[in-house]
Amino acid sequence: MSCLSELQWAVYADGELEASLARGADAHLIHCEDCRGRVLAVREESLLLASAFQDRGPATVRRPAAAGADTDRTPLYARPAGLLALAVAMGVIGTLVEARLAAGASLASFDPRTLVTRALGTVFVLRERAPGLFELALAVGATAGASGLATFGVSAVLRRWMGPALLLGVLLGGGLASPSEGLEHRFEDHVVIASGERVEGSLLVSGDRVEVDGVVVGDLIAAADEVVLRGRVEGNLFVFSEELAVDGRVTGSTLAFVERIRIAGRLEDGAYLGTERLDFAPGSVAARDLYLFASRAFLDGRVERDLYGFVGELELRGDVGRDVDVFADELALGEGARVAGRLEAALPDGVGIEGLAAGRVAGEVEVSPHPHSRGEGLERYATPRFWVKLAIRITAAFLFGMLLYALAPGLFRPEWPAAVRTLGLGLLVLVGAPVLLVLLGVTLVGLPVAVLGLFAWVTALYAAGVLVAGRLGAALLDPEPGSQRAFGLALLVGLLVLAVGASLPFFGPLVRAVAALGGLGILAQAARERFEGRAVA
Amino acid sequence: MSERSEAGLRAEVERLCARLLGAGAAAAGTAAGVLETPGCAARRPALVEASRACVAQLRRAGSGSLHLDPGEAADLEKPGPPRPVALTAEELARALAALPRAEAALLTLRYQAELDYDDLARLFDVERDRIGPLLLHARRALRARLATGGSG
Repeated sequence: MSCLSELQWAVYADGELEASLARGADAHLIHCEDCRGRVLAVREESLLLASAFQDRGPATVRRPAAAGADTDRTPLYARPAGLLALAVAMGVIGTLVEARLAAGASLASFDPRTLVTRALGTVFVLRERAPGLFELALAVGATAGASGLATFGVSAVLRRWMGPALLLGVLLGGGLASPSEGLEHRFEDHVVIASGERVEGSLLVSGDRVEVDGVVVGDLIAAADEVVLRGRVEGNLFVFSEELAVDGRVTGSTLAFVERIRIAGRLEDGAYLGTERLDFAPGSVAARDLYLFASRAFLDGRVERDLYGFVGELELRGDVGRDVDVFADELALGEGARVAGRLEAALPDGVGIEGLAAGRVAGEVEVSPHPHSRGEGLERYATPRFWVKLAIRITAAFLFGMLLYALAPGLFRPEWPAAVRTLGLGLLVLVGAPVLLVLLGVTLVGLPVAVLGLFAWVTALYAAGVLVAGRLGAALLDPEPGSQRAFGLALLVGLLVLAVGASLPFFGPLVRAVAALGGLGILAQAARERFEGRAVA
Repeated sequence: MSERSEAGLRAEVERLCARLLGAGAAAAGTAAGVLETPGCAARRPALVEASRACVAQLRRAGSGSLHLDPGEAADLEKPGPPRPVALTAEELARALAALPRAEAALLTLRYQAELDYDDLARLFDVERDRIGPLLLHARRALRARLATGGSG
């Protein structure tokens, strides 16, 4: 697409350009600095007119420090003096608090990962303590999801987004076709698929106890206190429960987030297990790779391919057909342990592999240290690793930020929406999106689309921090609109400021959480504006 | 609608009508009429309704229609007057007063009432595709008036 005229850019800046042309214009703006300047000039004139029309006092195009109006809207925490004072105060208080508390203590409960874990934990508690409410929420979620998708689809078509609407239709059609076809659900206290019984198609079950002695031909999706599989699942197994026991066989993949897992059967495809405790009993088999996220794991069975793990305490007493790659606090090899390939372990400083005797590992053994979260306390700041990791993170975030700026420069406009509303919206996206996606995944759109949604959510979570850093930097340096170099400098400054905040003793996780929530809130608002036809580019 | 938000909306409608029609009884009457319209609980419908009444009044006065002749449309392809870098409400009011009533109304409805192209097209009874050129023409006319201090 060649450069557009002033008229076309004016219509574009008003968010009124026809959707197909607007997409071409978006793409053109990525590489045409002249046109970016034209669009910004049109927007600035529009803001000037709107300000004068609505009699909001004298208005100017730029935002120099002397200009007043825009600078005044910059909140205290985004001004250099305010930021410095806040950082110093939090640094001093954080150091004092952390030095007096148990080493390593911090506001980790505000960390986004902890928030998500707690949200999912709440879902399970509700399932246990208030099953009626849980099932009502499931029904409401499914209905809301259906309504939301239908509304989105109709609106998209009405807005003449024929391309995306068609794509969405194909995706939904594809998604709906597989799980809905023959998707049977059973919501009872005690669900039993008796021996000899055969469920044709996929099965969604919820109850206090689920026992499968028969055969499920499709996927089995189970949310229950206890799930026992003695029969066979010929599709994938998805389990969210307190206890899972597999004595039978799963032909497809296994994905389980369960408090305690005992595997004594056979998992034919990849297994992804998140648990407090895993017992992989003698005779059990994972016929492909095993991915493990566990506090404690005892592996007596056989993993025929690779074992990957993020584990607190891992005791390996069985066979691994290929490599072992683990990040653990403790790793022990028992009497019967055999690893046919390499063994790579990241362990805390000074911790070795217990029971590492000759012949147990056929390939190389490599042990590397990893920073131990417990007991490290303020000493972490004195290690080069801390600073190297920080530099790597800032570099990655900088590159990502520049890419984001090239795609949607409007996102980094130094505007500060209402803080409470934005944080609330951010919290809703942070906690609500994965729960909604899980609900939608098992009910409406199918797992492939839900997994894509989860990827988008993770990307948004990362982008959120970068976005807040970019806005902070823009508020501090007031870069020339349309200049990539000026924006790059502002982004770098913002990232450094945010990195300092996120590394503060004790308060660091809180800063990270506020940045993530704020960024997600801003992204959600931008997405809403985009959907309503007000371009953000 | 709460009493406070109704009062705020009434004031906003009055300001809009005053800008479109000139301050006085006509504006106040239009605003009162709009707020008594059933279902006028939100800002946008209220402003659209007020605008409809005002544009109808402008039409009756013979100054509410918009059009570009071919020469004016062709001029939009050329560079326009320089954009203002600062603007006060008083400067704007002076420049608007020097514009044709329909163009001033178009700018007012876009930047004060924040109506979109669809609303503007319905109000002025023109094709939606014509709103972009009409707005740009009006913006350029306003720029020219601002450059000469509102005269001419």
